Amino acid sequence: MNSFRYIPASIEEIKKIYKFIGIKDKKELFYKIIGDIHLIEGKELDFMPDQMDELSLYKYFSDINDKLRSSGSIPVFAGAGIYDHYVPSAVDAIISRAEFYTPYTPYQPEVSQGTLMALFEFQSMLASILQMDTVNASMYDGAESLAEAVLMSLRIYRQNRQTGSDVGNSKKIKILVSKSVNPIYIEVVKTFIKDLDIVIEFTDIDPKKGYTNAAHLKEKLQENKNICAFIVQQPNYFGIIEDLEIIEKIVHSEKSASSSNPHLIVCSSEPFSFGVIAPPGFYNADIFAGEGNSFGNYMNFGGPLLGLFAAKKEFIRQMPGRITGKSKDDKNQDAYLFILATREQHIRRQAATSNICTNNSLNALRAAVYLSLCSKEGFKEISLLNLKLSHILCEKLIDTDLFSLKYTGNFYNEFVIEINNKKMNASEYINEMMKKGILAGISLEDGGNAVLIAVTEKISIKDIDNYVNRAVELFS
Amino acid sequence: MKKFPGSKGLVFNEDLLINQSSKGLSGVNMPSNNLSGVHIGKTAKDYIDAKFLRNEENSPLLLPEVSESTTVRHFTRLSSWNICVDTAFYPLGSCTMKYNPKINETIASLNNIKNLHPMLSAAYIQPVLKIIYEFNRLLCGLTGLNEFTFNPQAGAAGEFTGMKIIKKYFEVKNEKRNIVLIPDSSHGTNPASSYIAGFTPVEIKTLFADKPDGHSSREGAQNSGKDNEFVSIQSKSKGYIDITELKKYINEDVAAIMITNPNTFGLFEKNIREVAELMHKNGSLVYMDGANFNAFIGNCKVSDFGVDILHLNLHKTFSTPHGGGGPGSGPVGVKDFLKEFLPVPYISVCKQTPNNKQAADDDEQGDYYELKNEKEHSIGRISSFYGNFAIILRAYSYLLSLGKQNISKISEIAILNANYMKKRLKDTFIESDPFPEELCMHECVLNDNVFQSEGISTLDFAKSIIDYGFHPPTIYFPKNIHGAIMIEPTETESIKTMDSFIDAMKQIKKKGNKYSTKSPKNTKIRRLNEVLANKNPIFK
Amino acid sequence: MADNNKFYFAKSHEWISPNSNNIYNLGISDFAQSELGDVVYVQLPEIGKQYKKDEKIGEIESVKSVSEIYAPVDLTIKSVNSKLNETPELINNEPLGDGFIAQIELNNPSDLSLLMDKNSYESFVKSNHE
Repeated sequence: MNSFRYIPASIEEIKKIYKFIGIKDKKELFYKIIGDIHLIEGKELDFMPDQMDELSLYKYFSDINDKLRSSGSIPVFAGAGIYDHYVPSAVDAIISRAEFYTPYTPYQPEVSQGTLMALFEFQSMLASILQMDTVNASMYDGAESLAEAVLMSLRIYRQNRQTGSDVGNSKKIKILVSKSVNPIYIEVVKTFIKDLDIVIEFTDIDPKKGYTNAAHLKEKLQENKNICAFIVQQPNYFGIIEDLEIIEKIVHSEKSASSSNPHLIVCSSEPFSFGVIAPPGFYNADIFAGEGNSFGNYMNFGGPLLGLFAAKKEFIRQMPGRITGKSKDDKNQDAYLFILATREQHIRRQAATSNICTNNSLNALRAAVYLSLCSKEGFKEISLLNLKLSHILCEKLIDTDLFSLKYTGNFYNEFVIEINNKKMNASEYINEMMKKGILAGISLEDGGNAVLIAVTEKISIKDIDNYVNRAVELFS
Repeated sequence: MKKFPGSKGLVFNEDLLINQSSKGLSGVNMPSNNLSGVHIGKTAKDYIDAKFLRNEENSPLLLPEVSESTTVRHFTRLSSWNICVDTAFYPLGSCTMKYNPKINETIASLNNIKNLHPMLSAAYIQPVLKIIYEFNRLLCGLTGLNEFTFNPQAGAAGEFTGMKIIKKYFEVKNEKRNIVLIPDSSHGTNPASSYIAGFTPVEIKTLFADKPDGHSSREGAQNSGKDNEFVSIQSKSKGYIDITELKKYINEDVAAIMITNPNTFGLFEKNIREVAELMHKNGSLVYMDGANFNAFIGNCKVSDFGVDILHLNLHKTFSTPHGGGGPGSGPVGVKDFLKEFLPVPYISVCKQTPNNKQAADDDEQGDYYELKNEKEHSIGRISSFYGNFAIILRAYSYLLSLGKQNISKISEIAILNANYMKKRLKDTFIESDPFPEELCMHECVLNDNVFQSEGISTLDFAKSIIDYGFHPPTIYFPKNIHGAIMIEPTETESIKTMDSFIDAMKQIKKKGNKYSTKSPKNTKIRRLNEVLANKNPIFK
Repeated sequence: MADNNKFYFAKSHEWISPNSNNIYNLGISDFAQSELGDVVYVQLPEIGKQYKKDEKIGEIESVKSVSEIYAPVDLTIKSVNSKLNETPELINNEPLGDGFIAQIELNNPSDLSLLMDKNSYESFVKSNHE
């Protein structure tokens, strides 16, 4: 008998190794290594539960899964950065291949061509969806990816300022952010830049339309000299489509005192929208940072997700994370490998473009399989279906006269409604709807009456009608 | 001839999927959604302003056009080009490539768990919050620390979080300290993480010199720029932090030391308690990089080393799969006095009341778990939600499967296996062992002395062992070991497997460089032209 | 290139060599390029900029390492070798010739005395790196 099911050593073999290395027992082994530092023994491990055989373990978690029935298998109308899209079985089947999920990072390309070629395809597909030059092999999530985009922009800005002939170096660098960006993303950006001598300023949104106020953006750019970037989300946190054409013109043509215009950083938490609306690259975005979880990944209670990062080609040496490239082997066959590794921490240490090492490669692979399955037409159609369904729900809700649309700008698959009945606030509404088996949305702010609602292709017309009927019931 | 796992076989060719397209094909059929006639015929511009629409001419969408069957075959063929833990011994030093239990995958794919939206109100997710809470309790027990955050998504994110906590600690104390001391043998993430957190990393020489660098290998050398010289003080070789040397760097500007233990030579930092004492006396903190916690789990608490703050890699010690590069999870644990600085959101526990109780759930202890977003001195938010829950779940399941009966066996056997390999390599590779007298911990390190006398570079060796059916060890790291070969067997490998690997190493040495410079031969592709790929990058 | 044989070396492995009219070529030594391996990218200094001795003026990358290029003396960059953008391997092939990095002017001509001649540099390399 072996001592534990994951350990392929019998009691006899363990004894044999002890004998071979000339050590009596565990006590001596540790004593020779750690000296008189305390060795945990017997009862000290009582805080640990008893070992569980596989069947008990399965039953234990299966029970938990059952308890979550009323929250894990209900129609989801909540988005706010993470969307409940359907994951085809083929994605799970491919990802459950041990050849994909059990290897390490492909630093030895000869034995990792599968992962590397799949990542290359991931980069290619995303580059096309976003219309950006270069996509990396993934970051952790949308928020962290955006924070890295800010650091990258800051780095480029500092470099330009250093070499540029203009002065004004004493002034603090600023980053301009639209108030329509996901507040969680902004919080993460704040954590990243806190000790780095850089300040955030916000541009207002149009209170009726829900998109960035272009005039205010212009004003801000004119009154501030040291802005390294402007961050806008597409579609924005409220689901509204930003007019990137106007924004880009303002950001890239303002003559500020610095040698170059601020970077346009576009972020997104729902890149599925780019099957219908024009992608960030079309508007000349310098950097894109976003959340790719919508492509073939589960919500997993918030992680792991899929950080997307893309930039113009000219910035490739400033990009964080791994980049997969194509080359040839000794026999002139196509071969894939990580390139421009000198940007990374294992070579450049503190001068690296980022500290990231482990990324969310397997989630990127899920996205690659998913997008391949969708193919060109499927991707566009699912994207359109999301748009349609959200508009159908929105229309039906407004028709009840129980809700009004908070922002009237064009939206993709997410929108904000306000509850007309002042007796119930958004959290109470969501709570009551949960009791009816529907995750009805996200409360936009504590105690407020605005609900952020998202609709994906997983929602049927029946679900939509049920949502509307339950809401009507609630207020009658 | 001995039989090794590596063999020849049919290797599939497979083109990029985009090159296999037929116009109009797709691997999905649209969900019907019972769309009524009015909506079926509508297009995007019936809902939104046409100026926002994607236009195929300006923004061509270059996705493949293939069926489900073609997609599945494509990725299945690709997968056959990978070596993985399930197919081969993967003794990648510093990476803890242990077996990934299958039950954990089953659990993580349970339907209601994987489909949970992270912004559900706490009443509806009590079992999930309880898992995180309980796992926190177990990690505290195993490390001797007082609280963990699970928000960091990987080891480097954990380091960054830890560094931010240290920043905040001194900010609240109103002390200005900018320096973080980092031994030169550390992982590159350490200086990078401390730098982006706003510190100035200062490298401490571990005073270890393997041999001066005369002819650093042109290919594959990870760190040998022309500025990087080996310290040639052979007599002082010991492989861990030297107290006299460390003292030179300690001053009032030092915020913390970042210390990897066991260090990247696979050795226990013998002076760690003295280091901690010196740091604490100076008002500085001790951060431990717990990437190598597999050497301690169940046998040593890091609190006994004097550690104030630590990150763990669930994708190493706690058996969660590496996923070909990620996702991971890098929880950070702290002592009581640093709790207030942990990131938000966090979980707190209180007693159940009629108000918070949800009908479907009945916790035996009557505990109720809440998610909190506010904390006065918190460093703030570092990830979108609560970290990589699906990874935490797997790691928790791993600990439950081990239980108190088995938890201490993990590190014991990991250490035994590494020392078994170290000793078995002695007859042939004694000249390559920089620490012949020492017991190693979970991994052992060799230099390239023995191979080089046969004209075999470390890179050649690594590529050769592939054909024998093994994944190569970590190579050229740590940088102060010449042509380093870093072997970490983990506890989930058998004596037979280790023996076979050692036999292969010896055979490679015997066969000499004629064979090894042309390796690998049995893989899908041969050695790559890295210069071409980096000179003219093709990335899509 | 005039006066091909007159090379002045720094301990950080850069050289300068007189070209014409107070203009000097600047590059890295044969030893330095051999340590680096195949050069894949060069970040060139900025034209017109003045650098102090030991200040970083650029970077050279091989596949797996990065080296900084330092100003061996106080200098001003007059022009850069833009051929290196397309063919960085010139640094490997002709480190002392077409693989030069920039043309410079000395800010203090007397600084030349701070540098080593070819023989002293060679023995410096020998004693430190072998």
